[in-house]
Amino acid sequence: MLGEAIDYDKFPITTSYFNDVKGVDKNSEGEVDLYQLLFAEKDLAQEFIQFSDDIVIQKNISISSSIDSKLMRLVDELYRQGETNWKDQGIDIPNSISIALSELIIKSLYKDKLVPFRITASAEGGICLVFKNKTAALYLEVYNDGEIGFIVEDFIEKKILQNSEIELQAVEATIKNFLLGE
Amino acid sequence: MRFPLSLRTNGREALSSDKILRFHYAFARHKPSSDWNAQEELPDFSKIKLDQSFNWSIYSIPLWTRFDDSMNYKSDYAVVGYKVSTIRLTNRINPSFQNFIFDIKTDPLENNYSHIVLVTDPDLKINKTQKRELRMTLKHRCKVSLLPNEKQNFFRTFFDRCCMILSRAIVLYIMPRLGKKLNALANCYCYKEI
Repeated sequence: MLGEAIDYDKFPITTSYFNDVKGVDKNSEGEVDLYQLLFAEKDLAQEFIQFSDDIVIQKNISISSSIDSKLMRLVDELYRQGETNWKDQGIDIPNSISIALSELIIKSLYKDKLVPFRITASAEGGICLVFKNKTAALYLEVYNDGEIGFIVEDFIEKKILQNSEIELQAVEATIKNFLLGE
Repeated sequence: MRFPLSLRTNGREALSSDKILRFHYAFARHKPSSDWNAQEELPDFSKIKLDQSFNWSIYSIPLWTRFDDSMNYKSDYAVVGYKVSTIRLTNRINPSFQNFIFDIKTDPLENNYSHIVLVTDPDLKINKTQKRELRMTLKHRCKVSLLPNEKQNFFRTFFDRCCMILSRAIVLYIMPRLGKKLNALANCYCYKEI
């Protein structure tokens, strides 16, 4: 059910992505620590990697395994958590539409080594991808009906900076602009 | 944690929703995602719902909000308090909304007399953009009473109970009497005018 409609070749994640990254340690076997690669700050990485209490992604991931399968495990985990944790709270669990769209977004951002601070279910039904910079957080909600919307808050001043619906094509640029100020 | 017997309805009638005053608090049980970190702020935006139910602060302390309808104590839940004025007077907080988009109604349950629910005007169509804005407004205007797995000491519980009893006394005994006196004064003034 998960990711049926996704063209994975569109977002090839190969070892070449890792070769030009500066400041990344390699272990004795020459494997890149994805933990360090994905994130500048360790606690952010921990957040992403320890997605659930059980397992999602091990701390030290060898580049020999594809990022696709890890993302698939991540969304599988989202679905599993939805079934066990959120259903009893009256939250509509993410369906295949919101999961597929979220995967597309995550993978397109991953090309530029940008990853969400958190991936979780939205109370409105769907998936919420959270991105953070120093003073603001962007919550991108991918709803079960295929609509996408985002809200940006200044979490220091406790103010809403931006709130609107967004097309899938514009998501990547919006998030890059938020995270990198492009 | 023992279930407080005073939370049971025991045949008591529901109070009018007019008794819910603007300075009262509505406590919500809030389960953050499993990926939530203790360093992060609560409530988790992604888990704020607009069809939330609450415990009314004149019949419940924040700690009791962790009991579910089956009287199970959920220690891993956080408790977040929303001031009634925040919920009702949305325009004052966010000028893009009118007031009373939401209201709070009393809705006692067998095992939770303090149960109140958030209701919206069914004729009012709220789109997803507006919902996000309202959810974020609630996030910014709440008070975190208990963090997940946080234990509460005796003094804090005692203080919370005192606040609860005081606000209940205001609603049930002091305000009706003051109201009568105010009415009497108003009537007296009118009669003099005549």
